[in-house]
Amino acid sequence: MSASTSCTQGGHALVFGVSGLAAWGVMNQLLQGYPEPGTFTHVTGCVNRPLNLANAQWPTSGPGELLLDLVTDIDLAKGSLNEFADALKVKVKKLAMVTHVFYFRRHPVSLLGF
Amino acid sequence: MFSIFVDILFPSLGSKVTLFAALKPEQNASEEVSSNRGMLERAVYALERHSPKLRFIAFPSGTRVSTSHVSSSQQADIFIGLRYIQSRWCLQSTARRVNGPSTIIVRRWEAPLRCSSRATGGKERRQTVDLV
Repeated sequence: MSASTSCTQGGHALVFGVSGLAAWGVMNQLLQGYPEPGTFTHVTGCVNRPLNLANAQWPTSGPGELLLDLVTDIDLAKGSLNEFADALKVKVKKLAMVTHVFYFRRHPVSLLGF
Repeated sequence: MFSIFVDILFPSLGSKVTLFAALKPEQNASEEVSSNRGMLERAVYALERHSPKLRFIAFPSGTRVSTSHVSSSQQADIFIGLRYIQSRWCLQSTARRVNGPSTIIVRRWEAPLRCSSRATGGKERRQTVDLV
């Protein structure tokens, strides 16, 4: 992974809810070059729960140059549309470059924490 | 069941990772739909406003955000290596009835739509929408 990677060639994948099982798996695969190396050059994980890269245990060395960002404290249930949009823009780097979104956020009462 | 599920998908991790799994169906579907709809609308609105290069949004099977939801028969696809998304680059269907800025999703739909609809009385309805 490289923090200085240019994202002009591949896509930017934004994954919501990466502390969940499915989204964690999505991140895991994207960071391994899914579906093909170079498809994405920037992967951003968003989560409302406290999470850091060390605990997430995603692969730290994928194929080629790949920029990984993890953004916490993203509360989709909070604020107006504009407030959330502004907050997301502030927290997510290169939000304007996002090409693909994987949305795995669910209603909180449906979750069982382990 | 949870540990088995993790072991199947991520055998190298075992129980080392703390994960949160949506295993419990919400009994109050209307509450779930309302909440999910609000969250999804925020996400879609933000993306439409700030992400002009967005091509599609993928949803997990079974997401309830409107009167229609993706057939549960497709759930395995999303959990097993995303092969469904990989093979079809398919935007799942659940947001298409959400009011507001979610038209971005339909407009950028690039693959056939398969979904069931509660509006049909619970009967699964499959349809194909080709907007390309």
